[in-house]
Amino acid sequence: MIIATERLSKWYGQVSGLNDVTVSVPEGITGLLGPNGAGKSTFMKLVTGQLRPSTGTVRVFGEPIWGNPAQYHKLGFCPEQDAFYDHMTGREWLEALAELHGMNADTAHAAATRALEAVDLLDAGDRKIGGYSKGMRQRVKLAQAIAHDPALLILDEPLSGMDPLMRRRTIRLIKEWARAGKTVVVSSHILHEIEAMTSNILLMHNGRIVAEGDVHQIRALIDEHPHRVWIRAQDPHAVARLLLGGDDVSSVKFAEEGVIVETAKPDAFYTRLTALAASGEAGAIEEVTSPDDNLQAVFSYLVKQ
Amino acid sequence: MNEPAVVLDGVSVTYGRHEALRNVTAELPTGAIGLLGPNGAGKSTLIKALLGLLPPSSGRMRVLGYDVRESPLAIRARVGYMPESDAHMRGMTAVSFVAYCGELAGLPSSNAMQRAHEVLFYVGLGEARYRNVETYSTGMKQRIKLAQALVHDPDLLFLDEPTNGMDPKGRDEMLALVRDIATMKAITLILSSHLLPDVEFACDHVLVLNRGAVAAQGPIATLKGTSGRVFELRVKGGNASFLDAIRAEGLGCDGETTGVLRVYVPEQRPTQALFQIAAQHGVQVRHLRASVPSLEDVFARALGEPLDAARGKEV
Amino acid sequence: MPIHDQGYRHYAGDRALHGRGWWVIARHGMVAPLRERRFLALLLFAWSPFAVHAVQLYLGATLVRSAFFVATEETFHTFLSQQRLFVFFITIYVGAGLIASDRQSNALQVYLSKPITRHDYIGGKLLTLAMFLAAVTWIPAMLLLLLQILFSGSLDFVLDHPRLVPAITLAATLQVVLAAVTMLALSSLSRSRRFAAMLYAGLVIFAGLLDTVLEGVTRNTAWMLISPQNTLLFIIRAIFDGPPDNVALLGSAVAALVALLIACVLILERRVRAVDVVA
Repeated sequence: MIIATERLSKWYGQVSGLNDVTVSVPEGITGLLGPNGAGKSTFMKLVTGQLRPSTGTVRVFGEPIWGNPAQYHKLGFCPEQDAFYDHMTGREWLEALAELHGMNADTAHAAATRALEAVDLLDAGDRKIGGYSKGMRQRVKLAQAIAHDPALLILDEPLSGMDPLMRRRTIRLIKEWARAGKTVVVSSHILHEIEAMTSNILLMHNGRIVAEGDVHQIRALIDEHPHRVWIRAQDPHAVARLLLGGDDVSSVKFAEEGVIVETAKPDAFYTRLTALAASGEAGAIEEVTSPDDNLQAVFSYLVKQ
Repeated sequence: MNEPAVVLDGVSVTYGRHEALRNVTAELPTGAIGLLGPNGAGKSTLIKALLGLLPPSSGRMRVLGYDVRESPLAIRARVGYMPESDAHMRGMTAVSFVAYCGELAGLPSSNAMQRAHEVLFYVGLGEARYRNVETYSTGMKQRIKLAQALVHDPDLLFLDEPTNGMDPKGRDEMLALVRDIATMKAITLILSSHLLPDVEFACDHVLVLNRGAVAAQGPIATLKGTSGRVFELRVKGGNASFLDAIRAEGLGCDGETTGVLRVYVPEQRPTQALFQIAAQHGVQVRHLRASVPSLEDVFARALGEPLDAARGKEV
Repeated sequence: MPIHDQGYRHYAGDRALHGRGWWVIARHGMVAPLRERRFLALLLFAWSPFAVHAVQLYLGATLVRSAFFVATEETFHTFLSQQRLFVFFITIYVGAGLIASDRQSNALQVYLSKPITRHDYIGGKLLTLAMFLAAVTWIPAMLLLLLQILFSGSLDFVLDHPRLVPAITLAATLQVVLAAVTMLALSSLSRSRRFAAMLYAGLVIFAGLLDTVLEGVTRNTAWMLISPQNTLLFIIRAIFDGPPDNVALLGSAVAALVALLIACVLILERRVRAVDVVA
């Protein structure tokens, strides 16, 4: 496990940031989600060694991270805040930060060039940061996170301020980094973008972990909440009639050109549906979607008022 | 009322030496319009120009039937603006702030106070309306910006990144409000955002700007065009032999690594074939949908960018 | 459901500013400081010289016929001159944050997207400050004049000194306008009210000190022109006592103040703009 916490708690005077959190973050991309105030930034600061745990431990690559600067070169952090030395150029800033990691001037220069290239800022690298657009500032923040080639990346709202095409490119970039062997933890409120990157999530609320793992598995486990399935068919009534025959269906509703079915036994139901569609008994079935087998639904359900 | 809400005719705006808008001609109908474009494309310049705060170097603009050059104040009395960045006034409670904004828009002070209460309830800040705005959370600050834009009951509302910084629940609520305003309350909306799914949810028209010029405009449905016979397919229990079987049937298939398969089905073959193959291999079909171009594709096409063939979106 | 359908109704009432945007802004600006106890205390304090002079006038008019208590034009000149301390404090208290706070909290975007003009905004803010300043200069001075009439039982004093009312009005107006316009311009230069306050204090105090030193060293009174405060005092003296020997200096003094006012107006025009603000 890349990050492992054991009964980790952090409080600020009376205010509780994290409450007895025991979790492991595996390799690959993990989405860190939760409402505002859930403890995500506290968690990220503890993992990057910026805060000292009040109780419990947090280990990164097997070693405790607090007060352990030797480990810092393995981490790359892209914070949410926008705070730069506007009078420096992008390249100067990246090189300065790289040198802080212990690189000499030449290595830093090469690292900065690589990083600028990765985020497509090579030509703008020699302009002052003060003149950058929002999207460019965000990209240079990402660049500093990867310049020293860390094995673990912690990204807080990495796509903020970016236009749609840059968002897509950055998502692709993050997936490339994961494919190259880095572990990435991405925190974002934009759920469909997390979904585009990964299905492994860590959901927090009120300073505690609410769910971790594959989002579809989590969804499957939420039995009490029946799955809704939307089926568009040539003959909705025939479909409804035949589906009602089984005990895996708890309700059938008609809508537009199809039916919305609720089921508490998704495996049994989908098998039966596939067979039904294959046999053609109820006519042609054109579309099958589950509007709530996604991150948004899992999130809303688990993070109730 | 079929007159368009906003008409731009050959509008150019220059900032010093930089031409922020170049010969923009567009008509925005009543309803909900998305304003899209990369950073620096001219979206905020356009809004400022329509509010009468930036004089154009050429061209005419009409908002709600008024000419912007001749009656900017009349326009601002009927338009609401929800800025992107944080905006409040020091030391005021929510009600007094919103009421003050109402008075600045021309409402008599008692009416302004009444409207302030109503609007604050509408945006979901009813409980917190006597609190100082500086103590508000991000989500609440967004709502109060919307409230001050609505207090004088505008006919046209400019929203700049309305869900900025809000958590998923807040985003949902804000988008629901935006949609409600556009559809039920008959207020024309111009929504500027980088989050295309938000725009797709709330708007029916878009105007795409790029480098100060119009890259695309029109109803979203028209711009998207028709879909082909490509289907998204997600299964449970799928394996290599299942994929081979699909290909053996002459149906193209790719995207195995992303969890969502894209299957190309020729015109004559029905979708039943897919189900049959699945049933034969003991595979459950969990998601099957005709692939529709998304607003992202419209955006990419408008900007002359290559479309993303393997989107890899897990649904 | 977050949408309270019954909550939002369309508004069918009156909605026209009729060009009175500046009044809305001024009204709100005046109410805010009056809610603070410290400010009320300051205002009360600012009227203490008035109380003292009122007693003086009473004694001069009714009881003791001593030259010490009798009112003269000089009484009013002195009064206005003394009030400059309170003018200074009130200007900083009310004025430092007038525009600076709005710039810091990004409120200018909100203002300028409403149907008010930049001039409404500047005018409203000016009026806010000017009203308070008038309340500690012109109003108490005129009240003292009224008291003088009441205590002496006749209009003789006013009739004997026909230039008094215009002199008081002109002097007070100059005091108020100079302080208000300068403070407002400095407030628009910054996002921090404390910084704006320091700039103003620097302009008044530091320049005054520098002038005193330089005049002492070079024995040349022309140095007063670097201190707006002292230039103003010089002009007010001319208003009450008549033109000085060095008429050219008076001309330069007036020119210097006019130049300062023009500079401040130009600063305001540049700083209160929608372009940098609606970003």
